[in-house]
Amino acid sequence: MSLIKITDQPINTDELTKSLIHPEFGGVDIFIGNIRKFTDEIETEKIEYTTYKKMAEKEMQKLADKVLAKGMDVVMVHRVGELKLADVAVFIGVAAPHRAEAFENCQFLIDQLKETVPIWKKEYDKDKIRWGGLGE
Amino acid sequence: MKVKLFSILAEEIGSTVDLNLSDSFYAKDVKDDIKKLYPDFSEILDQSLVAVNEEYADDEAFKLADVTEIAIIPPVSGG
Repeated sequence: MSLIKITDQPINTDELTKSLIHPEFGGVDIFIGNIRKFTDEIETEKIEYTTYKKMAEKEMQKLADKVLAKGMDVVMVHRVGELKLADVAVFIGVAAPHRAEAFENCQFLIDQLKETVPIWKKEYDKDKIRWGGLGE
Repeated sequence: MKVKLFSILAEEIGSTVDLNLSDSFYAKDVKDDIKKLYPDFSEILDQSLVAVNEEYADDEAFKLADVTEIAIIPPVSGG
């Protein structure tokens, strides 16, 4: 059963992975996005995510529907609030009959999420605060 | 009409901005109305999209009576 949500709670990757295991799907591809310490020489200390939750979940559902329509299963969970280094910010999982479509659709979902879903990061770096999506 | 703001706009201006919209309007015009009140944020508003009733709608025309919610969506940065 597909699961699409935004949460302010830690993401349980084991539980979400297990939810994608079904006898009809031979391939499960998972993307896990974590809070990274270094971006070149910039050192990040924490990231605060905010969202327009109702619209964001609708946009995530629209993306998921494109993959669900092809007969696969989908999990998309994004965490918001204050996240520390190595915390899981996003979990995308696609279960498909074969690996090629699992890889392809998992990449599609995370790439599109970053383009269209109204979620924003405020990055607390060692030198200053940076807002995601706005450059410097 | 209270227009919802997010991200840097919410932090700098507030979570909503109150606008007097005409009975019919283009979604993108909402950004111009906010620019007039907050010219310092013109550059960010130019990069932002307008969502009406929780759908991206920049180039669409609306009748105010059909609108329940308007939001300004700065460049997104999830993931």
